[in-house]
Amino acid sequence: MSAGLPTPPLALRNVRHGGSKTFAAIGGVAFAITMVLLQLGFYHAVEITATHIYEQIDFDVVLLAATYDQFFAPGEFPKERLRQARSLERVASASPLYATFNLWRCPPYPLDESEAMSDDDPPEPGPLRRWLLGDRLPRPLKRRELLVLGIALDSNPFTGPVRRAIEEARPRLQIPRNVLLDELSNLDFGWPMVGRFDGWEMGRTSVRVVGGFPMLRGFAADGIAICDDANFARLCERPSTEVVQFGFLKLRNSETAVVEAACRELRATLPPDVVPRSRDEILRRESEHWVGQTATGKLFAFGVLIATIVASVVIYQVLSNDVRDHLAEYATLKAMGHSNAYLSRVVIEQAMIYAGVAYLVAVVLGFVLYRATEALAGIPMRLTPGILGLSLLIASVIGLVSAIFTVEKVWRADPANLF
Amino acid sequence: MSDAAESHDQGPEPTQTNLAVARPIVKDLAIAAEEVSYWFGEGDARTQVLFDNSLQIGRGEVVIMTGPSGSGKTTLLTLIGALRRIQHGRISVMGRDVGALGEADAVALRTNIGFIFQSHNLFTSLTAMENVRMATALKRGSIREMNDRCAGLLGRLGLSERLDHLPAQLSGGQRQRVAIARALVNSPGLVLADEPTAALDAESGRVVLELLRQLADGPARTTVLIVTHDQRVIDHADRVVNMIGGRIVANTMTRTAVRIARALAQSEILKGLSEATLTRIANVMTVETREAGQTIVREGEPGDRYYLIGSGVAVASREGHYQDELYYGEGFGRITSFFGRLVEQTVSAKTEMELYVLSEPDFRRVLEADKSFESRVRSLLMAMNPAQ
Repeated sequence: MSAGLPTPPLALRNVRHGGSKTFAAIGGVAFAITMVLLQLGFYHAVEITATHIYEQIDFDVVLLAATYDQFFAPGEFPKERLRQARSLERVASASPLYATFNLWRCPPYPLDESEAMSDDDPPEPGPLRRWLLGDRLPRPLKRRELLVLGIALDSNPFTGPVRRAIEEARPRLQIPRNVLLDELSNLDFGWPMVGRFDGWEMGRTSVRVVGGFPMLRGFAADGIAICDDANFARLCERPSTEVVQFGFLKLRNSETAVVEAACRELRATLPPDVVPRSRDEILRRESEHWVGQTATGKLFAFGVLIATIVASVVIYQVLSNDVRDHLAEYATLKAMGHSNAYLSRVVIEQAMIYAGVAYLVAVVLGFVLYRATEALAGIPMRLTPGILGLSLLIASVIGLVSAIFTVEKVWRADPANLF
Repeated sequence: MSDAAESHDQGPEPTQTNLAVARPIVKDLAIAAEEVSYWFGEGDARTQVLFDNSLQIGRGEVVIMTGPSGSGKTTLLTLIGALRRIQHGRISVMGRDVGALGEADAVALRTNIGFIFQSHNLFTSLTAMENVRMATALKRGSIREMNDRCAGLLGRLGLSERLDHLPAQLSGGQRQRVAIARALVNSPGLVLADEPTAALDAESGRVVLELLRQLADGPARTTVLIVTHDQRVIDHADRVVNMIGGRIVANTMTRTAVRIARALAQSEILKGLSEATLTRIANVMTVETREAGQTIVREGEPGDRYYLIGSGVAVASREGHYQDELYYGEGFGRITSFFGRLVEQTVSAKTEMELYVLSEPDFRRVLEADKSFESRVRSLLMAMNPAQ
């Protein structure tokens, strides 16, 4: 194989004949890079879910309470501010959105009460069983919090599939105690049971699930229900619909300069209990909040760092042991006239081969784990080209850093000691 | 000043390099070491392992270094191979001053040196062919030519059926032969070998030594320096260097020693002495040269050395009259202080001459050390001075 090369491919041969050491190196690094991939996937999921509800809404400017923190802690303000905003020349429409968490009565599985689990039954099953059984996982009847969104049906702020689902169910949503349930919500909330179960409750009120809509789950909300504003006030025990959490404004012209001018005008016109934000601004702020300010983003970023360090240590250990075992051979090469630069190249190549093969293994493992995680946790795990590229870069850095630390050992190989 | 006096002044003190038996046959030197000393450690732990060693080795010589463990031969070998920094003295290898070389130049010099270690140090992940190819990669050449050269040399070493075998699939001797092929495949100018035949059977050892000899005698005139205790190697050597306690105590060109001993055996006064005695005398004789027409000794003057003609022709005369021509193996001169007589004839070089010289102090030392030589000399004295 090497007969056609000027110099035998020593690094590749060392890897091929490394036996259990090679297996340990590639296995260890593949595991660590898989962790990197997962952490990057989680990190990316945080970015996606940070804005995924805003992304489903058609707006140029959003009115927020002065006490607004992030989407799931929005504060509230009078609906009058929307009417005031609507009176401005630039504003084409103003849609309120109501949002709060409420308890949801999750159906048991199986539905037959005689077969259903009681609360005294054994604890939650493991993730693999949850993954394999899906909605057929035996579970007791229980109550969990889900996010409830209320809209004015004649001023639906949503766009895309969610809007279409609402419009299709519009007549039924006007009926008291009717709601739509997120089709992608945690299986516990019972979307697969719609039509077979009739004991739905929100808060202390019996409700009917009259349809579904597709909306991603996130780290803050595992399930979402949508109803009209009257039902929202009824089910979430609000005194009226005159207090809202969001006000989405569409402008007659969506150009950036116009949007900025509208924001300035709204800020000048409206009382200080509301703050106008452009679409780009709120998306950026929301992303920054979840990725940069909460522990969630930092946790996954830190996870990437730790996995990188672990992988570097694994390669360094295997490489340095390999170099130590072959120190006499490396010293012989030096005696023959091979330079330190050449020996460094061999070590770096060997490290990069370990990292490269481990990367390929990790991508395959990562693909499987992404699917499993998405199915289990319901968060959007996307193995994007960006993540593949970044993890390849990290794998390369891992190989390079561990090689740099090992090269020094090769340099110390003294051919004078061979005699 | 007389010619004879001139010749006395020119006579150098015997050193490690001007002894007749130590002088390289060729003027083209591969290795020239001058007053090389070396220390290991620092401060109180500093230990000197080499003491002012000088050595000249010509291109194409096969040299054996012997000596007990710790005698410094390996340290000297590593200094010659540019594997250690020279601390004191000077070593020139193939015309390069090793002490003045930077790291890159030292690496470049080593590409022209073949190293053979006691341990084969083959990469276990590379085949026999690939291990040898690690050496050819250091020189420019086509891949096909490299492959042919490697396969050819491995074939000569009896490994043509093992080219694609890993070291784990080879015997100890076969591995060592692969290592030897790796050292020799680039036809280096210098080979430094540490017990190269220790792991080899008699036949393999013979093949390797013949290969080294062929390299030395071939167009590359490779110089071979072998540290060994293997008696089989001596038959292939031009020079034997013996070290004890960090010093070169013997440095003998075997062919020159034989030539001097044979010349000594031709001398009337030394005829019948044992080879050991003749070799002992030969080993202390220095070498001097004379131009044609130069007077070497003058009749009636006191003498302090005995001369033996190594090459060239001399003319002897007495009282101004031609007496005889002197040739290879004939001796002349007198050590007046011992024999009590002045020089009996004037001897001049007729051609350019090489003379082996036994000085008075060396003569007395040999006399003390060798009873048979002393007995022969005393008989001569008796014949010359019956009254004594």
